[in-house]
Amino acid sequence: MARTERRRGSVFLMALTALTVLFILGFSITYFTGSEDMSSAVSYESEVAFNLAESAVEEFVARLKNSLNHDDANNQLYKVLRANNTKTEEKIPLDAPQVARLTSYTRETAKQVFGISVDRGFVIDAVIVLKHINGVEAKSGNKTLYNIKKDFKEKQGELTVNASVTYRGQTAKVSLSFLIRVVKTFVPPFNYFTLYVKDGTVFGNSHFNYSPSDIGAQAKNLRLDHGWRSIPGQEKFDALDNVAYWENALSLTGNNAQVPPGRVYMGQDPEANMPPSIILQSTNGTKLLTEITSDGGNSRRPLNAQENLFLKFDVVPSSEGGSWVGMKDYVKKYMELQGQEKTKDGLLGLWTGWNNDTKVRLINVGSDKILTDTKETLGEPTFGNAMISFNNYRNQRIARSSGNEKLLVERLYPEPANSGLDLFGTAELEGKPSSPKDGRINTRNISPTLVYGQVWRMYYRIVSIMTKSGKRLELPFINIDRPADGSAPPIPVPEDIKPGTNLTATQAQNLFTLFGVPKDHVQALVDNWNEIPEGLTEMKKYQNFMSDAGVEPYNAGLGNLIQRVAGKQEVYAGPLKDHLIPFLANEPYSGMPSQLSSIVTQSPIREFYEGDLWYALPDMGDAYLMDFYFIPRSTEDFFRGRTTISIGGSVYDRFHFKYINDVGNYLSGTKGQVIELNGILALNDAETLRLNRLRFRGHGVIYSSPMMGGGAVSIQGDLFPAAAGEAAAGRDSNPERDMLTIIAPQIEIDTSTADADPCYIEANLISVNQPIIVKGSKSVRIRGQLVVPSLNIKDSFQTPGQNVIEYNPLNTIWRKDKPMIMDELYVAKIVTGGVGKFEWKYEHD
Amino acid sequence: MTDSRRRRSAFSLIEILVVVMLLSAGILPIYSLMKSGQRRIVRADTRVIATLYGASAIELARTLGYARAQKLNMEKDFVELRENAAKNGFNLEFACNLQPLLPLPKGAKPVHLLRVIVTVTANNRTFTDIPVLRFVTILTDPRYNYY
Repeated sequence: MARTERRRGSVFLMALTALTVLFILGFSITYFTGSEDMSSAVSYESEVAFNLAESAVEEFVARLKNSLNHDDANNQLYKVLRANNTKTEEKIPLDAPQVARLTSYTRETAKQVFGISVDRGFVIDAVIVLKHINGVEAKSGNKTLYNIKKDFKEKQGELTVNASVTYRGQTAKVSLSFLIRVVKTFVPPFNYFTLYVKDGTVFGNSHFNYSPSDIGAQAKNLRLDHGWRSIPGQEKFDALDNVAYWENALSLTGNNAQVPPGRVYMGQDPEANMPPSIILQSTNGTKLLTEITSDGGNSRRPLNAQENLFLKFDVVPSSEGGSWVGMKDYVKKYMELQGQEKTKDGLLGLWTGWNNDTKVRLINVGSDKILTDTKETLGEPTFGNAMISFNNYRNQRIARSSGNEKLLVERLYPEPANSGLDLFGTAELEGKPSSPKDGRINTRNISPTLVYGQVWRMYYRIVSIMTKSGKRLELPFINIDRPADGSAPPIPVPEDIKPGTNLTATQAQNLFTLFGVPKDHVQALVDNWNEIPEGLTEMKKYQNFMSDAGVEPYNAGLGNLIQRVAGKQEVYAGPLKDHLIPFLANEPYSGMPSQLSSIVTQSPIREFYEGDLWYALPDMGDAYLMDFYFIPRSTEDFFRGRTTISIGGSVYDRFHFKYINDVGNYLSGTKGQVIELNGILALNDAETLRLNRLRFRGHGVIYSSPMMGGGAVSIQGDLFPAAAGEAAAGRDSNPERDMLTIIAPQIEIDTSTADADPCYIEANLISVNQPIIVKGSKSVRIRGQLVVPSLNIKDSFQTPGQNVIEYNPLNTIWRKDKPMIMDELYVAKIVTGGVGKFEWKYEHD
Repeated sequence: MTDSRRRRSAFSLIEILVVVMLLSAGILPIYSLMKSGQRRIVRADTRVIATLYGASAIELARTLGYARAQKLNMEKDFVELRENAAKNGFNLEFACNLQPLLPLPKGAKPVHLLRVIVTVTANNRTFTDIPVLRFVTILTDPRYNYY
């Protein structure tokens, strides 16, 4: 009974137990499968959130790249990066609306595909911390050579973007930090110059006076155009019509200074203790010829004004009948102003020993074949009569030297027929004149500017006298002085000819013949010797009056031009007066005239560069100084070996693949492909970088570092902005205001494959160690600036015809007047690779 | 008799019926729990594998980069991945869109954002709530260095 009772209800217990077990099992399964299900969902949702966060950052960077250099009303970052008063070392959050715009596609995708609320599930913020990029101070011992000042618009900084995406409760965070640099793409101090020649002396291998000109026709020359027509409102600039404008514009200093015009620097070693020794010959010596039958003011024509316009006024005052001035008056009023050694004024200045019976005419001319060739003449004066003896004297001086010294002497004493460089542009003769009256000149290419450095202009004074009886005689060059160094004179004179004694007609005949004065002219002088004032028969005094070469500081030519245009025969005293005092510089120097102090200390070039301009382009041994400037500003990856050999043996150039728009077409030889470069690219590969018939887009600097072994850059054919279009007439338009600067140990241009003549290169060219070489069958027009260590025009410009360097105003013009456009010259780039960092951080919930 | 009958007595029919009812009432929800558990397991399993395939495809797209990712379905690695997925009962679909980045400088080479969408679906699964999983990434052209 008891056992039976014990069994009663056990089935329930068993059932309940089984149920309990089943329930436990069931709930366990439910729990575990639910957990499995949830974890798989979490895994997927987390993956989605992560992909979206990563995509958001990717899109942010892509759009950021675009907006870094694109200004628009809503682009806060563009303005912050270019401001010169942006707070540094502080976190600057980007505007939320801008961040939203920079991730719009990812937001749209998140909403469309996953239904994620962009308000709650999608949080992105970005913060930037900026600091300035240091300037560069170069020292030699304790002496500061130069200081490239800190530019407060240039910056580098770290931008951090944080993306947090939540999908069904799962949050993924992606954070990216990267370096941003904001750098200018014009290069101080060179950006102020149309032409910069570090060493302009013949001792530094420069040579400017090599090409003969023949009555205005310059066989070859290098003409500078300083970009006046680029100034808003000056599109029709003509230096002769707009004298007052450019006279005042050039006199402005400091922040008010206008650039353009691009300026010119020709230097000589400040530590060499040399006298100023850069000499440029003016071109063309044939202006103001007169027809002998009607010698008067009305018959003279500016047959060939080129450069002659920049010479001292001629002594042919209209008050004196338009052509001649009495000798006495000449001595009193003009002699000193013409750079001649004035003879004594005599008692109280009343009795000079001269009278006005004999008249004088002085015409200042530039170099030309006509000075050394009597066969070529367009009338009186016959320049050869005056200057052939000068050329003979020069030739004898050269003949005493040999080898390298002879070459130096040849260049130190250039042939009167030769010239080659027009710093102030040209006024070209339109056709060779058959008579004095038919000459016409084109003055559109006159382009005044300021020249920095110790530069002289060499020219020729052609002096004629008219005797009492009306005989006109050129006074030939004679030199009976012994050289200052005690050496024998190049043309030894007979012993009976001594300073202080009056020559007889026979002695004069012998002397003039000895110096090679044309025979007919010697005869004319001898025939009229008794009519020549007594003072002039004494050689010491004669040498004060005679035809001779003269030099004056190059900038003085600006005053001369102003006076010539105004028809004034007096020394210039206008607003530019003090700028024309020798010699203009960027840094005060020993012995500098006090009038230059404020001009030099307010030189506009000092905005970024303080120091002697000589040091701006380093010597070969100091080339690393350029790295100090460019490497901290580099925005592109270093290639570390540009040329690469791929599997299969084919060679390719990483520069081509990275920076040329359609590399396939480029490599197959199609012209007109485009370099797309914004920022500063430093190259360190010795291989020559060839740019073959390319166009370019962007604001870029290609810096082939001389210090790091960077090679030359060779430009073949044209190189100009892609947006300019192919038509030659449209090449100057540059609607996108693109600018390219190329810096390399040497730059070469081959013009042969250019579309037209001249070959058109729109780029700033800085050839650091070796002078530029331009060769090929066409001439070249460089729009930009040319910077070279020295310039031998004959070797550097091996092209036919006239070559032109035209200042590109983008280098400076907009700084003051157009700040928004100037800002475009500052490029902001995300810097990666070997130059900057690019750091991802991931975080899953 | 009574004692003997008592000694032979077993579970009554009522007891059996009650127990059967109890068991039935208990097992049915347990069956349901097990059924839903099974479904969850299948779904989780599907989702895990699909996530693996999807993530792999996205990773592949990112590894191949902007240019090649545009033709991901022609890429050998993706084809292999898709075949492998098919063997395991999954289907991988690839789609992409190019979204232009604006504004562009005049004449500049167009720049796009590439959106890659990989959709993973399970084949031959008996349950109807097997999820269709989508994976998205956005790529940009890293070669394009103009800006």
